[in-house]
Amino acid sequence: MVLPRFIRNLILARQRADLPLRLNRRRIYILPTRAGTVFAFFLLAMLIAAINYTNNLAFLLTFLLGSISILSAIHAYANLAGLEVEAGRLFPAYCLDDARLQLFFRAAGRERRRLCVRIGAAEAEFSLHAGAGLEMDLSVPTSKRGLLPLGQVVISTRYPLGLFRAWSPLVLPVTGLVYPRPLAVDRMDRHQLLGDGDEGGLGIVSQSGEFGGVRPYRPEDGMSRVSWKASARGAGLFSKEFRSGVARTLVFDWDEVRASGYEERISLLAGLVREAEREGISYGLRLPGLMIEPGSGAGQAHRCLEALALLPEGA
Amino acid sequence: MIHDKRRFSVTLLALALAFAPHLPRVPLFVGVFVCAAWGYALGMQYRGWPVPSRWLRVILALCCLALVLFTHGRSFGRDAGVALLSLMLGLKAVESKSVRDMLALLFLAYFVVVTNVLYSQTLVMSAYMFFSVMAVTAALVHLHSGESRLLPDLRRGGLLLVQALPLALLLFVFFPRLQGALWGVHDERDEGVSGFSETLEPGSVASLSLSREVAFRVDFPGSIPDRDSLYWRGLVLDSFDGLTWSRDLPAEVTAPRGGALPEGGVPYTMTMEPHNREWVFALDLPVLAPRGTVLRSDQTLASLRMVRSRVRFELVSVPTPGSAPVPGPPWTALPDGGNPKARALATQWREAGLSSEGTVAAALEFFREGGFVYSLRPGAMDQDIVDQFLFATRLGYCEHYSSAMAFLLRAAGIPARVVVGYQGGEVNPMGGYLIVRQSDAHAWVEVWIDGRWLRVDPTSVVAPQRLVTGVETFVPQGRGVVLPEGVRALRKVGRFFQLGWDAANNSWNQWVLGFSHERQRGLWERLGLDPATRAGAGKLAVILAVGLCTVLGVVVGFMLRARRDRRDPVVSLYARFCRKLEKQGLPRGPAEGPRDFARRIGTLRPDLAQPVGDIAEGYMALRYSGRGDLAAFKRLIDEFMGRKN
Repeated sequence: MVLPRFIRNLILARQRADLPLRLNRRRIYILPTRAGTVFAFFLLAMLIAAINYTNNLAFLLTFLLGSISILSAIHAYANLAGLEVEAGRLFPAYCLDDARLQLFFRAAGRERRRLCVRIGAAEAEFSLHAGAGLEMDLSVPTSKRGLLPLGQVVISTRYPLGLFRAWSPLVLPVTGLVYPRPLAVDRMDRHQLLGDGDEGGLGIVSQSGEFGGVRPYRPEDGMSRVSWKASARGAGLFSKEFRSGVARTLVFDWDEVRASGYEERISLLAGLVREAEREGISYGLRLPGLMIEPGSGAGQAHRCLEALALLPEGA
Repeated sequence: MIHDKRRFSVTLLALALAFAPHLPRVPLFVGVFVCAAWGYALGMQYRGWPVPSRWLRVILALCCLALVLFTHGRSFGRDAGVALLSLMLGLKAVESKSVRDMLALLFLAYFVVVTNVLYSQTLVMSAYMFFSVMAVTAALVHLHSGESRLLPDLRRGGLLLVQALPLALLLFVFFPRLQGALWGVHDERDEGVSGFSETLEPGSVASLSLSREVAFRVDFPGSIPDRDSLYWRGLVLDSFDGLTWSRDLPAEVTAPRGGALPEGGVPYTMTMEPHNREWVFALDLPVLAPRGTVLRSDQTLASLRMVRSRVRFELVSVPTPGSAPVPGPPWTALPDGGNPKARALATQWREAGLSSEGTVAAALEFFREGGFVYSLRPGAMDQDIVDQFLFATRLGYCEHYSSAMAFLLRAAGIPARVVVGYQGGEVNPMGGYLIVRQSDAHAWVEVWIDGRWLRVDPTSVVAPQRLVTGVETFVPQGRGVVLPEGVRALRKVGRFFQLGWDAANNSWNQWVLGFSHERQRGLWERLGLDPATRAGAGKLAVILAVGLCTVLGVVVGFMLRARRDRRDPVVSLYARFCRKLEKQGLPRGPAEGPRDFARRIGTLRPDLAQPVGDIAEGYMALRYSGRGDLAAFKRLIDEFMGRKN
């Protein structure tokens, strides 16, 4: 349905919500489903039969079924009302991959049956015991790098009879980041891509390290260095240590990369960052007007990919 | 999907429960087809039997339609409709795949429940219908809940039903009722309704004497009159053709009298079972015609519509007849020939110069002294039946006595007529009302003496106990076997339950089934509402709206009530654990999550690291992943609380 932009904005403004939030009557809408409409015709047929046969029991049953259907609307409303959305998080994703949306729900007061949460085409169903919380994961498709504003999330239910659908459209203050689509880079053509060797910002400082042993985990180590085998023995986390006799640092430079276009250059840099991160190399990134000092770990990768993602469009 | 199979079975089960009462009513081929189709549908779900192709389903549907039309033919009404509906249930089940199909099946199941009431409205059947509504509702809930267990959905279905009841009752009482039907209802009740026909011939009443079926029930606000004065007049018969008494004279309708209760009048409420005639049985003698009936000149009541369903009348009777004009020659008319002996006897009385009273007394004396025997099996008579009965067999039932008496009186030149109706009735001590059964059917005579039609019952002189104990005394009892004391006591107990059950049924009939247009108007008038006027209609609408809002408000309040008393067990268990640690000088920091807290405890108290770590893992699994084992978590906490340190 095409609505004038200002009306759409008005509706969106009403749906905007801060987290944590609790669904209440301002946010919950309720309408009969198609099945509910069909059922209304059934009821009408029953009522006509009851009138025609002046059959009191038929009257009573018709009114009973009518009341049940009206009450099912209240049950559907109550199934949604008071539901809490405590937190929402949109994890970064490479462009064209699905971003993972994580929502944390809590059933305040009552148990919740068969709630459906939908964003775009992605849909998931869940039930909650009274007071229980649950993390739901949904996939959000991405189409271009940059900030990904979360669209409308709809939480709905048809429980208990399917005659009514109660729903709550929400626009959550959750924004994700879409990294550029990384071009696949393998070791063989890295040099070719980066230019003719060690000129410019690209310098081989040392060979990559070899595995040496474990030491207690430090936050800056990053999750990829955690030695799960050692940690599983108990008493804390351990990190793998690499013999630092030879270490290597690369700085990927915007101007040095051989690429045919603007976006391809960004994709290529993203691919290099991913590859370097995968190999555990220390790396940095130089972009027009921005220099990211060499480092390693998930934090470093995110910093670099974020900088690439947020580069202005076109050139 | 295993869940869909389960849901399909539950759907089919609910459908079968709703359909079960129809099974003995539908033609055999319909029942067989439905059961086979459901069996096949189950096979499709569980054994992977193939879905019948579309053309096969179309051919099946057409065959079913043709068979129904062939069986029911022109009288396409209730029975044919139910047969068709049943066939649809079978076909729909076979092509059901999606949730939407199951939804359609369950809606049809609701419809089936409602069609049941067109056949039976007894208390048992009504209770069963409520049960099946609950079953279908629970199946609908099951379809939408995503639960694997059935019990919570049953509970939800029951809750919906219980909450809906007050609303349904409100609508039931206040929804405006129409008088009469929207279009012609095909009459399919002729068969199986017992009761009188329009004529009286030997054997017509005796055939009713073995039936325990209830003809009507009567509620007296005051005390119940003596049994021997309980004569329920139904029909006055004025013509005799030598074999049969019938009503041939036009019965004029006297203006229905309304207004005040007459002197000595006995008010009572009569609830009649359907008999497909217009007669309304009333105690000697009805004086006011309630709405929907007319009072005829022979002081019988007639309903304006055939009594096709159970109907209630508020009646008033007086015990003594009022004066009537001199009846014309038809009231002494007899066929030209036949029964010479009876005529001779009557002529003998007339020539002896007996007055009307004297003739009646002589006739009664003849019955008393003549060696007559009251019998339900008088044997067949063909010609000159009055003579045969009076002078040969002398075995007869009430219709023989009254028929012969009326013949004798007419032959003696005294206006006389035969009245058919019921006599007596059984008092139900639990309901305080009177049950009159078909076996109480009776016939007697009315004679015109001194300006009044007086009742004369020749049966009473032959078999006086007929009026005191009812006809059961005369029903042959299995060749004189004396029942042992124990069996007799058991029969008494059975009788007690039977009467209690009848009382419960009667209340149901009175309060629910008997709630008609007339009674609704009565109720509104008592509330000071006249829906005909604008103010009255407005008031009615306000009452209805306020009632509906109150009920809905209560339900909303109940549904939205936050259950603070039922706190999350996981949280309270974890809080217990934290309190114990706090007492030992290890309080949890305000910003400390369970994992950090556990790690800190682990370093401070390595001996506790293992249990505390387990508890933290259990807590996080239960509270944040929605999975986890609550019982195991509780065991961990209990173990920890039991530790000495």
